Amino acid sequence: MSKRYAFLLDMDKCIGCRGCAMACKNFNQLQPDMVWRQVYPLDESIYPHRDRAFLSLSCNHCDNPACLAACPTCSYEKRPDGIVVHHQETCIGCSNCIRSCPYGAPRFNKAEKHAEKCSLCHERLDAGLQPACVQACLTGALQLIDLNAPLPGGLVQYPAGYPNMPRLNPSTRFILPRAPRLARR
Amino acid sequence: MNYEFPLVFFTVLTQLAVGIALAAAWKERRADGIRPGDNPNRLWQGAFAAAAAGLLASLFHLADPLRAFTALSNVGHSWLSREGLVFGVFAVLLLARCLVQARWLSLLAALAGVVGLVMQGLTYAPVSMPAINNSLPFFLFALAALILGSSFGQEKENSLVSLQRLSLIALLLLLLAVPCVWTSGNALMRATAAAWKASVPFWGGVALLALGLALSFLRRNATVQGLVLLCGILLTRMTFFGDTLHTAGQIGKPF
Repeated sequence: MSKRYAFLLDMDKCIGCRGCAMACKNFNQLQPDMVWRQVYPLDESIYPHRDRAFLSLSCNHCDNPACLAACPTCSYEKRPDGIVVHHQETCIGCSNCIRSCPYGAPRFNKAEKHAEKCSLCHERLDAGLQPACVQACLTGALQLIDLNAPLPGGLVQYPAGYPNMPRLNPSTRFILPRAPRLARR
Repeated sequence: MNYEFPLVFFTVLTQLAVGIALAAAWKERRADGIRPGDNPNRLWQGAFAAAAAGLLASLFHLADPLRAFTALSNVGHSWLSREGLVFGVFAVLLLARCLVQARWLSLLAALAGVVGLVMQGLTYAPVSMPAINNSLPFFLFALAALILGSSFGQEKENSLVSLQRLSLIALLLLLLAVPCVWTSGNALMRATAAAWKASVPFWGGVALLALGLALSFLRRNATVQGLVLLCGILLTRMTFFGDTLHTAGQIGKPF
C-alpha cells in the first residue's frame, strides 16, 4: 500500500513559538508578507486556562482537496503519497482556490501574482529529509506520519477551533492539549 | 474590505444579459409579444453587450488575464471552468442571434443563459463559506436575472411588470430573511449575519430595490427604474462577495 503523508500536531507539546512557521518561510524563500504555515492561538472559550494552546496549521493535504476541484487551470496535483502540490507556473491568479479552501491554506502572492501553498516539502521528502517545519520544531510537537501505517491511539481529526469538513477529509491529525496541572503553593 | 468588484460586475452584467435574453426569447415565442415599432434585435444586441462587458470585467479579477483561456482546462472538475465555458458559449450564441434571426437560436441562447446561472450558483457556493454553501447564491442570481431582464428587456410598454414586481418582492424577502435564518446557525453563520446587517452597501441595496418596487407602481420612467434596480443589485452583490465570512478567519475560535 502506498504512503499517505500527513502532519501530526501534538497540541499538548506545542508552545506556540512559531519556529515551524519561520523555518517554512526560510526554507521556501517566501515573500515578506507570505506564510504557508500559521500558528493560531486557541480561543479561551475552547481552552479556558491561563496557559495557552495553539493550532499550527499549513495545508492539510486533504483526501478530496477543495483547491484541486476548484482550480480552473489544473494547477493542483495530488501525488500518490497524498501530497497536494500547486504548480505556480500555470496559476492565473483567479483566487478560486483561496475562496474554496476552508483552512486558508492557499495564499495570494501579490508580488508574483499567483496563489501558493505548502507543498509538504516534497523535494526534501524525496531526498529522505523531514519537512522544514517538522525539523525545526523545538518540542517535537509537529511530526510527519503515514496515515496508511498503524497510528498511535488518541489522535483527533477535528479538534475544536478547526473546521469540520468530512467531505474533504483533511489528513492532519492532532493530539489534544491536557488541562494544565495546578501547582499547590 | 475586499468587495471583489470584478466579480460583482461580472455576475451582475452576465445576469443582466441572461435576463434580457429570456425576455427577448419570451417575446418571440408569444405572437403578441412584439408590438409595432419594436425592434427585437435591439434586445439581443443589448444582451450581447452586457454579456461581453461582464466577461471583460471578469478578466480584471485575474492576476494574469492574458492566460484567461487556460481557465477552461478543468471543465471536468471545476465549476469556475464550467461557468466560463457556458458563458463563453452564451456570448457566442447571443452574437449569432444578433446576426441571424432564427427562433431556435433565440431559444438556445436563452437556455445557455439559464445553464450559466446554475453554474454561477454552484461556483460561488464554496464549502469554505457555510452561510452560502447552499442554493442561496443560485436563487439570488436567478432573481437578479429576472428583475434586470424584466427591467431592461422591454421596449415601449412594460409587459413584464408583474414578473418584475414578484421577483423584486421575492428578492427583498430573501435578502431580509437570510441573515435572520443565519442567526440560528453556527458561530460563523451568526458572524456572517452580523456582518451583512452592519453592511452599508447591503442596506443601500435593499433601499434601492424597495425604491425600484415603489417606482414600478408609480409607473415612472422605466429607464430610471431599471438603473435604480441595477444599482441596488450591484450594492447587495458587493455585500455577498465582501461580507460573507470564510472559515479560515475563524480558526482557533468556536465554530
